[in-house]
Amino acid sequence: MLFQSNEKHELIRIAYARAGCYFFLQEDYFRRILKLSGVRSGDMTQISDMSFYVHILDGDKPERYHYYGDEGSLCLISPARYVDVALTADDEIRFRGAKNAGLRLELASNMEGNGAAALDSIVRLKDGSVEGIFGKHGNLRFVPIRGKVEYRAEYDCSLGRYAVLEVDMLPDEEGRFEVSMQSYFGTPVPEVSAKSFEEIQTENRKSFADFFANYTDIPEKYRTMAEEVVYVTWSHVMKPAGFVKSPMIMMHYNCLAAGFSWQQSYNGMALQGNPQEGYRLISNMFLYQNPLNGCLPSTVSPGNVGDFGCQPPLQGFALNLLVRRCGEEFITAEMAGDLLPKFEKWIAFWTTYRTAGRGDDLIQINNPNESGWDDASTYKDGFPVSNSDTMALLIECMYACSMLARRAGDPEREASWKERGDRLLNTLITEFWDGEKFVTKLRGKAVDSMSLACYQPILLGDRLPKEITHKIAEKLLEEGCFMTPMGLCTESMKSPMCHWGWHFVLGRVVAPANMFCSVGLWLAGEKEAARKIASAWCDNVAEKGPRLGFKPYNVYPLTGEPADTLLEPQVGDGWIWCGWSACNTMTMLQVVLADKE
Amino acid sequence: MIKIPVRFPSDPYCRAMSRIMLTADGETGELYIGVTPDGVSFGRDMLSRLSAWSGDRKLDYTYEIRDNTVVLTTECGYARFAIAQPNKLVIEGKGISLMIGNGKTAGIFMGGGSAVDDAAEGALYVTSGVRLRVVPRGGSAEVRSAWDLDALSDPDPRVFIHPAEDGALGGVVFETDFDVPFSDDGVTVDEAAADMAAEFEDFMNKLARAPENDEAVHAAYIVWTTLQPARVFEQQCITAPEYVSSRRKCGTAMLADNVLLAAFLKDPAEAAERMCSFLKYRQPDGLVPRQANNRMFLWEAEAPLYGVVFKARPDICGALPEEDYEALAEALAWWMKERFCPERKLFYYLHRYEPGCGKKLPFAGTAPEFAPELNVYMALWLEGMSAAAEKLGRKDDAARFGAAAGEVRNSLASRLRDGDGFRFLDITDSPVCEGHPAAAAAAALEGLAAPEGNLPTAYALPVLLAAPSGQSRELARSIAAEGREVTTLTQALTVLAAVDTAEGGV
Repeated sequence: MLFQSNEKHELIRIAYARAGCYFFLQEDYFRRILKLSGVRSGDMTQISDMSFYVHILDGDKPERYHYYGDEGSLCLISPARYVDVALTADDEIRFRGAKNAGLRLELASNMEGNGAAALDSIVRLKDGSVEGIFGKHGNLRFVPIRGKVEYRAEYDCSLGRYAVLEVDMLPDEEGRFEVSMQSYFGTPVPEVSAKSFEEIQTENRKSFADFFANYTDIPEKYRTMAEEVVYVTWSHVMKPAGFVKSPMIMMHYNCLAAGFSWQQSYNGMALQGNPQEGYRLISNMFLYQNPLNGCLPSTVSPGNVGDFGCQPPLQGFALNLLVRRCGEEFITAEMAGDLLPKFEKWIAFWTTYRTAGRGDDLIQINNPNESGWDDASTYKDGFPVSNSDTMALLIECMYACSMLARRAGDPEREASWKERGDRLLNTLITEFWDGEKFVTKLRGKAVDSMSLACYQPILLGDRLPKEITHKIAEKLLEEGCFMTPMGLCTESMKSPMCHWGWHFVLGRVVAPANMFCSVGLWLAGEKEAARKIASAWCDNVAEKGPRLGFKPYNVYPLTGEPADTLLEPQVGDGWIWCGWSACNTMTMLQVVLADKE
Repeated sequence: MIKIPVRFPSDPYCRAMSRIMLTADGETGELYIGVTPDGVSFGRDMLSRLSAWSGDRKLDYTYEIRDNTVVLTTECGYARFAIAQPNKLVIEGKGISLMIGNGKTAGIFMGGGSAVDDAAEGALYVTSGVRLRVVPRGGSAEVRSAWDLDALSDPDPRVFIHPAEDGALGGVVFETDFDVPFSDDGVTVDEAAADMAAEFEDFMNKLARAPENDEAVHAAYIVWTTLQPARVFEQQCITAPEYVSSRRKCGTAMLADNVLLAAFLKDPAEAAERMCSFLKYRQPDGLVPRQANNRMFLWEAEAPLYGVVFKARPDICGALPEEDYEALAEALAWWMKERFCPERKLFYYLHRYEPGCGKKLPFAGTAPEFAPELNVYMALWLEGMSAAAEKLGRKDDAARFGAAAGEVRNSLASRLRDGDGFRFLDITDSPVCEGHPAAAAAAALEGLAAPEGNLPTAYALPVLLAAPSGQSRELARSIAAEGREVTTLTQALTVLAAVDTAEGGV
């Protein structure tokens, strides 16, 4: 995959990153230079202090540059000189320059006015390297392999913090430099890796190629798109560090730089070329299960665990889809026996602490995070609500438990979980299907909504009666409703609430919603409808990349009003390429468009 | 029953080992339910306003501390509050309803929250950083909530606790990070208040010198209430109760506070345990974090104050368990390896924050800083370790530590001494940081000269604890007479030490 300024793969929308590296590069839209930011703390990136502008230096003067590169490394080029940057999975970033290029990292918080606030101290160590201490963000040590490292740090006693930090990597007599930037916590300082720059590049490319092998059945038409999309997933891999116990996939670098609970399942179900790894990723969140109540936290990052809330129970659907595609033989009795009780506790969390109070398994949620659809119109009347989308996922969890019990050699539990799933499924169909769509109920009354979430229970596929799945196929493809040239809107275009601005799922075309609908229809045998949705989404991604969400038109069809974009000034649509979009695109590709049973 | 010395509005009404509290706003005259933040609080986060109602009419109220409870009084009725373990605010009253709710707030991520009727139990009220479960006793809980899709929250979530038909108001507010079974054991306000008072009295009896005047008792209350539990399972940093910096402003535990607090505890074994509490978090190479909370260790070194405690409380040397002695030795080894100059036989600070004196005092800059107070602390620590080793029968260690202490003292005298005081030197042996208060603190600790004027708290407390009384008494009297606002643990310990020293020593 090639990155280049001012081209499709420019780094304004894409984070230049690497599996296992907790730093990333992205182009600042207004200043047109790169920023190097750290994400290990788990802070929301756009308000994090741990961010550097990257300048190429001519002597001590920054100069304009453009860039190009691939997974191996990125080259920053000014008219007369250049610098290469290679990320690694070993808590190191390697920089090297030629033709008398220097490189400056200027600490510049993403919060207006905070400047060099991240810095607690900086010194030159006895060995000549420079060590900067950045509090909760950790330490950085700049080790010159060739050339030298200088720094300028100005402390403002009245403010009680640093006002300026610039770290300069400067060339030797031959006009070259090479510097290793190491990231660590505490002491002792680590040894510098003996790897050459070229070895790092080769490793990076191999890592990406190896990761690509996790996917299978990619239609040739979408091969190039798949490489772009898998790059995003690969570059979002978080290696074990801090609270992260085992590799996870980050949501996105620009904002929510953490591993989200249901994201692991979205990614896991997409790894259809490597179901064992998919299983590991789906099961990953159980490493953090609350021992008191069985809840899985909503997020994990090295610096934080978001166990203040939870996300919907996607693990069942993900596991069932993986098994449906890859068979269940890869799940050993030991694996199943280990996971089953944890799954059961997770279901018990929902039926105990999110009970609707009827004495059966009907649940109600307290906030939209528990459905994953932050601003769906199904929640316009408030909470608590019994929403059919989360219920569908819970049903899938029950069936997943049945499958795990079978693999574990426990036929009684297998039957019992199937029966329980069947009962809740019956409740969903008899009480929440109104003939046209599934509803969300607040205090027993259906919320008037035209959200795509009303059709999400299609993920149950052939567990639903044919008349329901056929009706859903009809409704989703109905002219002027949800379907657009780039996929399904998350709010019907006939709804006055449909919004394509900064709202998340109140209209924008987003990957997971399209995945649920297309894969669900495919599982239900509505393959033509499934293909239409999946190919609309994938064709658009092939052109524009796996963005977090899309605005399908510039004008709202209902009102004729122009569609606004974002709150802050942006040229064009600023929604970035993200992990969530990438994995769901791969699921649609491998399941629906590859169309292999 | 002892009287708990809460001073509204500067103090929260709270207790040790419980996160929930009531705070008062001096400007608006209102009470808030709050919880201890995990790190630094930025203001009104972690707080939820309490208001009183009669039907749909909002009532003005006054509040006071009475019989160790908080009493809210209106023209129509009243409510009384006390805190029961764990994390429960117990409410009893008559004739009014209470509402928890901040009014309309702005912002997607920091403002707003939600309030829902929870079929599992009671009503759940969530706002930035606060998660409260409201369970009525006898009457009812009512949720008023409207979701705002633009704000991704309810900008004005409200939960009411209404009285029963006879006007009796009752309820329990549980602070909770996550959903657990809630068992209301029926504890009354008076029972909870009595339990609070008994615990506080028990704590004061554990102090080396029982606080006698109002200032000392108040300081003891602040100290007591900063003890907070390690509250998260599986994914957490701290694993045992620690004393945090401030109940209202900063729920992070500071190494310095937890070490120096040991000097105030009467029982030498308890004192030793408190002094060593952070050592269990140390890295394999002995680095001890200088701050810690449930989610974060700050892996930065800071001026080690174990020696100050050894000096103030030599009886701790004989109460140190072998395991803690080993841990201290590892922590000391880190300083010997990372911050000791063998040529000069002096310790140095490398990074700006290491003196632990706050962010607005000078630092040597780019060079290591040979600081007099650091070397006094290290000499005291080495001497303390020598004494502890002796008590444990480790003769070789005792001799080694003693010899090292002697070398440091010699270098202090030969290199850093400056007339009746001390100076700082940088790596080129040039004087730096002239006029830095740490030099005065070092001089006081070594019995050379009393500090002129006041010292920053970071230095005042070690001087009050470990300097000869001739060097510290004036400082103590000055601090004791000042009537400082005491809202943090460090301030409270300083006042306690000042009162003790002014009256004759810890």
